[in-house]
Amino acid sequence: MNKLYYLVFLIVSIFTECVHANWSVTHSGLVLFPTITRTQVFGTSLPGTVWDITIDATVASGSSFGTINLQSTNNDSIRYCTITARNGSSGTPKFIQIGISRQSGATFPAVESVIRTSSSTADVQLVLTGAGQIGGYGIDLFKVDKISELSCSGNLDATITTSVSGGSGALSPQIGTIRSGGDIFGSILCSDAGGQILEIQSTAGNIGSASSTVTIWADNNIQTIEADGSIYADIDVGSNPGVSGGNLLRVVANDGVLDGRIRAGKLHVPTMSSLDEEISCTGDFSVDVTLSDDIHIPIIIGGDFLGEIDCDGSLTDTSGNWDGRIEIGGDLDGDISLEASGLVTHIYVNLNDDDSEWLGEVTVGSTTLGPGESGDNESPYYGVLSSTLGGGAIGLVPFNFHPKDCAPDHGSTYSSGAPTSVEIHHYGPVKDGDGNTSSTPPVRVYEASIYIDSMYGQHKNVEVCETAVWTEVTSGFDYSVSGRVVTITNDTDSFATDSVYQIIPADLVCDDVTGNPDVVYVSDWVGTDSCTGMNDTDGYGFKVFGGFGMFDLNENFALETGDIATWIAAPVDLDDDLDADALDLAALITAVANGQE
Amino acid sequence: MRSTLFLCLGLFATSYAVAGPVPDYGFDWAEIGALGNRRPLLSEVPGFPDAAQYGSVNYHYRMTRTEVVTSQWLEFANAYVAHYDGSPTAFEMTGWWLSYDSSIGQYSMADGAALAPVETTWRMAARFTNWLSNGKSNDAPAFENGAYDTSTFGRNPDATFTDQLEHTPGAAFWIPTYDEWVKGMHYDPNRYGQGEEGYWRYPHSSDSEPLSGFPEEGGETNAGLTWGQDGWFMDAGSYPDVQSPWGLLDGSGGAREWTETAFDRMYRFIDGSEFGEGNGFQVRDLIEQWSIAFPEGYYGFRVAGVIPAPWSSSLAIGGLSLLLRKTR
Repeated sequence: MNKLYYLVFLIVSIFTECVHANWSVTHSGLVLFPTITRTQVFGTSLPGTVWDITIDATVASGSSFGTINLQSTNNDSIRYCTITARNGSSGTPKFIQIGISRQSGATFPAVESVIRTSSSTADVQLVLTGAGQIGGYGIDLFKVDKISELSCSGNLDATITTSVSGGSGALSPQIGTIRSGGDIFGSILCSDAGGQILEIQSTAGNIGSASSTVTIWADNNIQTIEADGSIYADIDVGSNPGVSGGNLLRVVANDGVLDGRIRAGKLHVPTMSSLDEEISCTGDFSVDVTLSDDIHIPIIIGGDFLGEIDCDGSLTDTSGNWDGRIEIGGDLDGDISLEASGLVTHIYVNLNDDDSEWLGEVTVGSTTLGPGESGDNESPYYGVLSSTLGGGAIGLVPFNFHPKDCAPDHGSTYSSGAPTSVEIHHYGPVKDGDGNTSSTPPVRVYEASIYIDSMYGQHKNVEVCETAVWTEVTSGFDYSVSGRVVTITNDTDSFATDSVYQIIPADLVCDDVTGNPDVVYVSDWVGTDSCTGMNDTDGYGFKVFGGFGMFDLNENFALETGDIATWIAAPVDLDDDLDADALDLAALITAVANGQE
Repeated sequence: MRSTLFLCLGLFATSYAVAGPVPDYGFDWAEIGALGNRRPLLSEVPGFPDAAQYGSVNYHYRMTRTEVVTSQWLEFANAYVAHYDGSPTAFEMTGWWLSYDSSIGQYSMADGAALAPVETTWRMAARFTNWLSNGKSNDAPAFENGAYDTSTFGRNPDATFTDQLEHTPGAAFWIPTYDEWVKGMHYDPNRYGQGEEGYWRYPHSSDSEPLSGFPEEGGETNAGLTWGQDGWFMDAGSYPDVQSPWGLLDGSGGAREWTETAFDRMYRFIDGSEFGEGNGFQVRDLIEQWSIAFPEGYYGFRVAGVIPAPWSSSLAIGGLSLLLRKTR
């Protein structure tokens, strides 16, 4: 009887295998053998010999999963592949892995659709490799519980989703690797609770196009999206993207633009990770970004920033390997908003050093900086303190000094004796050009008497090469450069009272900028102006008063009507209420009348 | 005379072994012997007769016990970057764990990532083995030849690749062939008892799927963990007692791994599961399951190499051969 059974089994097996002459079928972990029917289809646009394939398989009772591999043996495409997976005995959730590929030497030109039926009681995990093209002929649908791997040498143009009813719950929704040798179009969706997308890669093409944006959505995390060219995609992470949580780690357009939308919780770097998590493109960035949380990774843009970032969190690097920053090669021509004190690191503009501009608005909490603002809020050389913004800065290359982060403030009067050191804060990182602050100091320091001949007007209007006014004292000080700050410390020389100082960049270059362009100061102090043989730059300056102090506005060491005239011509704040108004004039008149401070 | 000749020839035929020192480079190696082992029986790869083609190797060789890790990759990246004609921040150079400082032209490694398996392209893994084969020289040619001639790396108009398919004979290090990988992970000379060879279905010397979980909880693999929820990576070698019959670690979990063997001129074989796949990983760990990938994909890899011939053995062989000659 056993021999008869085995003979029947053998005959049936051989018969089953023979009718699948174009498809090699192997399997394990199933009850007996799967029922696989294939029907040749005619009149489609798919290349090669085209088949519809149905699979009905049951996981064996002693197994938690089964496997079925289909391999093209000739030149075979699939129009529909429909899978009914059965759990067999009730109890432990089970799954079946469906592998679809080709034998070496055979071709698998195209596959249009692989779907697990809703009547299935087991889950399906799909591994599809070796295809020429996935989707693109009008059906374009892949719908199973878990996509372990989906790769093709040509284009991929389909809806890929893990949202499918029925099944067993054995597999958590996940899309592992989707890789195309061509372009990727369509939708890639893993939006069920806990869904993750690990890798989407076009190795030699684009993801989406200017006229056809790819939709990518994962409920929980997206690890990496990378294209050899450009990415045109709407990328959503979270159950309510941009409002709920969900991490996006890496989106890279290796040679092209980034266009579309990103909505997520955080742009996030894992706890122990490199700085290679990033959003980057070599071209323009035309993405509307909405985040409910922080930016912990670099956003590196080779071209112009033409999109928008609306971040309810911070741009920050305060923990572990976080490295949140925005670096733009061209124009900042869009808006960026962060939470109050949310600019912890930096935004750099014109890193290509090609005269690109800061054209959009940057809002940190209730503080908006931009070209349309005024006073301290006007870009690019805004005066809002970095500490107000969160400690960071927005720097336009070449980096200028920040007038109010400096100590003393630019153009200020230092009246607490003489400083022992001076800090020049910049909008971006700087460094000594040759790395040797002793031989070639990063800045040059010029000193003048607080007394100035009336023919020159004010110190700030006199270029440093006017030796009748300025004396270079560079060699008398020590210098150090760290981050955005140049520190000047007394050495053989000291900062002195009743003196004025004007400082210009010397061997000081922009750090972290390709080519390290020279730092250039832009201010209301003329610096080198018409000096020959000197780089054109304005200056950073301040006064150190020791005498009559602040009421001697015309700096002639006397309190007289000339000081009043000076105030009228250029009102200044004398009573330290941050306004230059009638109260200051009244105080000045009183001082002049009384001949005392 | 004949016996001398046979003795010497026999020794040379049994291994990829070279006279002279072949450095270990600080890798932890496992040596794989059992020359001329059989391929899997059909019963050992149930339902998948194609898998019975792989696993037989007729020479001694060694393989790194784990995938190449970031600290090992860092040294290579810093040596190669000066010759690299792509962007230094390209993923095939940095993987997840290196960052590039343009001011000094060097990479640094994220804190805690020293033992994280690296992921890179096949071609960059090939350059890594070239570099090892050339004594870790920093000269440009050291990266472009040795095991694989990188001047062959390219694509035909039909997208097939032109890359050298197998490592150059005589190379000291290379990417494991698929036969070598399968043998190292699944073949056991004592599978069915002492001296009774065979293959395990899983790469941890068992026919039962490895238990997914953290090592401190008795887990045997991190492949079934959920990426993100259970962490973002795990150190290579985190399960030191979970080994293949030859002592290889992380056959399950860690990173999916490149092999040298080409499926055709479009794909190379890859195998193994990776950290954080979740349930379903166990299929990838089966001996009868493999996958294929473009050379541009990002996967981990381990290194195969010759077994250095010990100097003392060489002297003994020479002495014995002289003795045999004298007695005739």
